[in-house]
Amino acid sequence: MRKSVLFILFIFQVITSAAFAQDVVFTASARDVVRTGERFRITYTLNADGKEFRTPDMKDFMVISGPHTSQSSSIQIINGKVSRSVENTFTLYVVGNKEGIFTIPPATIKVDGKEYKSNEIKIQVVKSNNQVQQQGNTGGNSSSRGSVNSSGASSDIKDDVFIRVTVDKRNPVVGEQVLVTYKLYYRINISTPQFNKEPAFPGFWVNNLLLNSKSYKQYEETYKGKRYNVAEIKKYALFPQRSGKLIIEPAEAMCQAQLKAKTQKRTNDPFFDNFFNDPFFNRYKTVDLNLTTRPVTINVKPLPSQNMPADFSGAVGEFDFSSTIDKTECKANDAITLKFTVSGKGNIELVDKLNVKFPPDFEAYDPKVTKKITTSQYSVSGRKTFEYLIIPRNPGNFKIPPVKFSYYSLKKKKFITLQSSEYDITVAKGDGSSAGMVYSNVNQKDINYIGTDIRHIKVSESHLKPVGVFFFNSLSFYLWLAAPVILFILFVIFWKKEFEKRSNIALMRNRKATKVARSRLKKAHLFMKEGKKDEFYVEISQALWGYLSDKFSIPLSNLSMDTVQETLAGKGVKDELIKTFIETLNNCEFARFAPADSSGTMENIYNEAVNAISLLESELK
Amino acid sequence: MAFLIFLLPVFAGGIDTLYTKANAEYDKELYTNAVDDYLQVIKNGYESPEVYYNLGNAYFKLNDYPSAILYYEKAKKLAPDDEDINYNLKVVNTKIVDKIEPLPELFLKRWWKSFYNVMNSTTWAWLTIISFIAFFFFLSFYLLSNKIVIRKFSFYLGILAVFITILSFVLGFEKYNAEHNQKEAIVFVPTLTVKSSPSESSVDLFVIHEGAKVKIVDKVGRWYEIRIANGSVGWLPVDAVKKI
Repeated sequence: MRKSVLFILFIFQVITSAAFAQDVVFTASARDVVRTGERFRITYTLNADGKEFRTPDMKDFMVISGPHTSQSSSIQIINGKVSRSVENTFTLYVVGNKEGIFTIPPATIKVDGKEYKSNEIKIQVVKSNNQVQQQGNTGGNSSSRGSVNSSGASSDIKDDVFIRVTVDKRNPVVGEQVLVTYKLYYRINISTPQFNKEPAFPGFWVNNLLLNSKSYKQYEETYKGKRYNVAEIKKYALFPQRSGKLIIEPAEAMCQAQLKAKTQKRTNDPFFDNFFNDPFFNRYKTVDLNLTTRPVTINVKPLPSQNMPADFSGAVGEFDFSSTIDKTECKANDAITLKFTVSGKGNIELVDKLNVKFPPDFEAYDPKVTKKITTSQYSVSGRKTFEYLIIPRNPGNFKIPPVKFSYYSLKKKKFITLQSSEYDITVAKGDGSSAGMVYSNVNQKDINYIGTDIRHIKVSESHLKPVGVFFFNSLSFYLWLAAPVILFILFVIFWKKEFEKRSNIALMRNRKATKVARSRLKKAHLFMKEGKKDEFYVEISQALWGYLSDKFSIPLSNLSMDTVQETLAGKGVKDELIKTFIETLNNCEFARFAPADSSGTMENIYNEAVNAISLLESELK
Repeated sequence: MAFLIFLLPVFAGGIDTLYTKANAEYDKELYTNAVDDYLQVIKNGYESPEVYYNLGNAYFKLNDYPSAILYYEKAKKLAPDDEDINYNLKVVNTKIVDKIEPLPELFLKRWWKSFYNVMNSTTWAWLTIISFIAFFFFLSFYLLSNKIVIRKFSFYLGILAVFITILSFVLGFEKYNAEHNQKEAIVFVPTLTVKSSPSESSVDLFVIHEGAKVKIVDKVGRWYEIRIANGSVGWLPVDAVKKI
């Protein structure tokens, strides 16, 4: 039972949280009926965190202020489940001037990227009651704006009470002080004006000069031929932050003025008339006045861009820069205090950082910044001190380079760079424990990377080549590729021709071999008949060797019994035949140099030779 | 090699002097002058990884990060494995608005890329030529020699030479394409809305900022179809980017 209850609770919670996550409710609410000139509230409520709240386009109403945002959130923890609910409220204060029934279109807001619309509101505006006005200001909501349209009596009221904005210069440079004064001119009795729209100075850094003064400076002044009481109700030192046309937006203030009342006849009774028309009773009536200033355009010139120091951070005015150090010799791990002071006139509050380069081994903490800004009636000046606490961790000699501070001098119309002094710091070994730390291996440190930067340029010679010229895929590349092919083809052609030539010679000799052998043998036959033994053998051996040489294209010098045997075997001649041939050759050589000679041996040799050649001839065919 | 030198126009002595002058100006931290002089060198029709790299550095010092990226990328195209270029490119890419997670590349593609990036296209071209000549050299040996050992040896060497020729030609071609084609670009508009189709009225897809690198896929009229490193595709106007 308990379990199931828990489970139901759990489910319920899941459902509610899911519902919260899904359903964004964005509603608008306002009063249904208002009077003309009455200030009322329109409230937009959103149960989630939204962005980009956009007010609807209200042509029939005037927005006095807002949207004001307020947020309430609650966190619930049920059974360990955390649920959070948020309610964002946007409030607009609005005045309607026309009578009638008007519809305010929905406002839009973005929640998680999705746009939501509120409901429309219908508001009826009814005529205001003069009675209320005459009785004066009774409360914020019911008061009406006693401007020109309220009654005929105040037609010239604009000339009697107004606020003028004066600036001391209209063409300053960026960062130059501009004095803005809101002067209240009045010729009738008024109350202290309350600003419901404070002056706004987009693009300026603002210093309120009257923050501490309790009373206004007042005097009399003639303006456009009329004598006025003047009160300086607001005074600012403005420092333009960017160049270009900057606009001081109009401010709105409200005050109550006492006007002479029109004599109204209430009754016909002369007694009562006199009584009630007595100044004591009804001379004055109180009227709410809306005072609006005119926008003022200030043309801000940029600082000269040339010769701008690299470390210039926007300080404009006249400044002094100094530094002090409490000690330049110390032991490791002792603290050193280094102070930089910027003082002078100008936008001193904008000096927010000094570029101090401590030796990397120093432990430096963020500076303690103390400022003393004095605002006088006419300018802002002061002093700003940056106190650095540094602790050298390791002994050695260190140098703190001079710190530069640059500002634009309005007097000299140029940039001025001031330098603090350079400090040489000698750090001695600290107490044993800490100094030893450095040298022992136990506490080795990783290299400390202080910053990242790009690497330096390459200063080696550049291998400049024409842009867009590629060897690859170019004509010369293909020529180079074609060259070996052409060379190879030429080579092959040449080689083939040479080969052919050579083989032709061999062929010729081959063909002639038999013929030559035959003629030689014929000659030998003749010599044999004549009995010329030497000549016969010469012819026979020449016939045999020459035949072999021609037939197998072996140079004569290479001929020997072995080569003959080899070549013949290589040509596939039968072993028997080779033997016969070799024998014939041997016999021939033998008989040639044998002492005994006869025509019989010559005959034999001759026959053998003829036989061997003819056999070989037939074999090779 | 003599042939190649013959093909190149004779270096005007002035260009090298200009380059040295620009380097000296960089050292003196006159970055604007250095940029002008480096650009002058390039305008005269010369390039090298060094001059692009140095120009990128000068732009970096002037805090013109898109230009710095553009010229680093140009340098990288010529010398993909240069450590300094890659380091500086990494540094400058931390300074821009967009951080685009690149899609992981297929390992084969990565290997292939690193393979053809070993040399520039000219070196690949020479390797092709040399191995081609070697092939014919071995071929003629093979054809002419009577000795079995030499024939065998030159046969295998010849096959190796053919293989090297084809491979280096293909790699060289890839590299040439990578160097020659301007397929990538850098965004030069502070904020750029990428559209779904090449028209101003089409749906906004996503926003990229200056310095982002895009790959150009297609071109229609005054529009590029682009792909960014994380794979997203869209269209942007031609004059919003500068080709690498």
